[in-house]
Amino acid sequence: MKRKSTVVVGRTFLIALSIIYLFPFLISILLAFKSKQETAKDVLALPETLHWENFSDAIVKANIFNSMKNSIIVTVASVLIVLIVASMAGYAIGRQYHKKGYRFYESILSASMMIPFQTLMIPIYRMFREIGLLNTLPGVIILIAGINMPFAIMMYIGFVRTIPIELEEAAMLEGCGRFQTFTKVIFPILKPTTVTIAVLDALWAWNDFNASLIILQKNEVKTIPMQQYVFFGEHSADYNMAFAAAVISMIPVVVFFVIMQKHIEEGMTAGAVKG
Amino acid sequence: MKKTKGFFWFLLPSILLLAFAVAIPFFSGLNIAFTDWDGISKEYSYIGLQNFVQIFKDKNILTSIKVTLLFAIGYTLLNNILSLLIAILLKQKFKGNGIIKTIFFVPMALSAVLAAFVWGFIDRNIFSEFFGSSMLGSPKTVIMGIIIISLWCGIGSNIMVYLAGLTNIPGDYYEAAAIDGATGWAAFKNITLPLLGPSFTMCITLTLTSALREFGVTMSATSGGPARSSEMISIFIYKNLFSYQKAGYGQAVALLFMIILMALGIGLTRFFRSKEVEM
Repeated sequence: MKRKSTVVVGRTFLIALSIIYLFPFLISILLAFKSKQETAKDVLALPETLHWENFSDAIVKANIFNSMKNSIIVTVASVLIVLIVASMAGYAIGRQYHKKGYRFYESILSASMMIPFQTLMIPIYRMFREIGLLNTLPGVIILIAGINMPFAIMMYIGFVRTIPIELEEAAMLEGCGRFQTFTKVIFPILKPTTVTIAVLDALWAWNDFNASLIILQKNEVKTIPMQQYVFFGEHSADYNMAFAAAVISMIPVVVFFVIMQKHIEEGMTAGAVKG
Repeated sequence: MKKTKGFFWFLLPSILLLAFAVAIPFFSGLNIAFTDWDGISKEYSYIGLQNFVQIFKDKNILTSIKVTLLFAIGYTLLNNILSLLIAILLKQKFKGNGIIKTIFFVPMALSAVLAAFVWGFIDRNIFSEFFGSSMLGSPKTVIMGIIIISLWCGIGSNIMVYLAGLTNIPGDYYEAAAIDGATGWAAFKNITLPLLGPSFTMCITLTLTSALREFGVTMSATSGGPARSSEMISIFIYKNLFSYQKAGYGQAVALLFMIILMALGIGLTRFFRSKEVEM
């Protein structure tokens, strides 16, 4: 039957392609456990024993704990800033959507999302150097938060507009101020959007390359991608240790991704379905 | 009590953050583009439109434009064809469907640096065995190599969007078509493609505009080499600040780059929107 054979061809193609997609992960794990001699003899052969010393070497030489600490600080802080600032702004714009000024601000936000980072890179470098934010974590945190904020506000606006206004009116009648109404009534309702934004922004901040490359040039402040950017170049001969370092840094983010996959899909497709 | 009281204060933190991270740098960038600032010294002078005139005389920027377009068009085409195909195949229910889906998504979790490192190794040690030379090491194949790395770590989001788009098409459309004798390719051409309109608008526009900004993977994989053969516009701008000591000129290029990107983004969205059909 013709239909059946197309299904078989399609499925075979899909499985073959997924093996290609998996291959870089497999080779990373394989090389992380091999010795230099074994790699030189045959790149793809299995190791005779597991060379765990690659990992301990990598932890010391790649300074993984320091860069991991920096990455955690940058990610947590920038995500928190985005959530607080964007939920407030999204609430105000969503509720005042009939007003020209708020709509104008919304269009400024969406225009700012179209500015490529390269257009801001040179002035940011100069400005941050002048005010002493170069090579500081607060500098890169503010920058990443600022770059990710407009998208988060857009997401919040969309959701706020679906919340019935009666809920807040009831709270305000009971004597809550605007701010209290927001923290006690609105923010809890926004939770699904907050989770989606937190997951996406955490991933973006954790993997940030552009902003970090400009701001973080000293070793003490380097995040994992920046640390590896230098490390992989310097240790191009010592592959096994470099792969051990790569595997260590892959584990937390891959686990996070798989657990949060549903939220990532929601965030990524938010614009497409509505159009 | 006025119902709308106090909303402005909710905007204030976002205005301050936007000003600091985007608006002030943007306007200070407008200023830098008209100077001969070298990226290091405190002094600089205004040189009028000289930087912008220089753009049209610069041979290196022509290389960058060519390389960027080659990458962006090649990547956008391959990414969208492949991600749509994968999404259609993933749409069918079968055992292991969820795991395969995750395999295609997971590379999105890695940084550009990691992706470039792992593929750089594969290229030097495995590709070169098969094909006789490394892809990233030769000016002729370097862009294809970068496209492959980017397809690996960037295809997930488009698969997600196409999958969501496919799920949104009501099943009875296909049933009705089947009664009329339209299945397989005919159903795909007459139902799936037109009704995926919003997904195409988003995927093609976003893939193209983000590919034109490509920076991280290429910086990590080749730093623009060999011999400038992968020096994308974004890398050209970066090097004008950090290597060539021509920050003023780099900023002028960056401004022109932004205008072209914005025009392209808006133009493409309008074009695809006008082709969309109501469901």
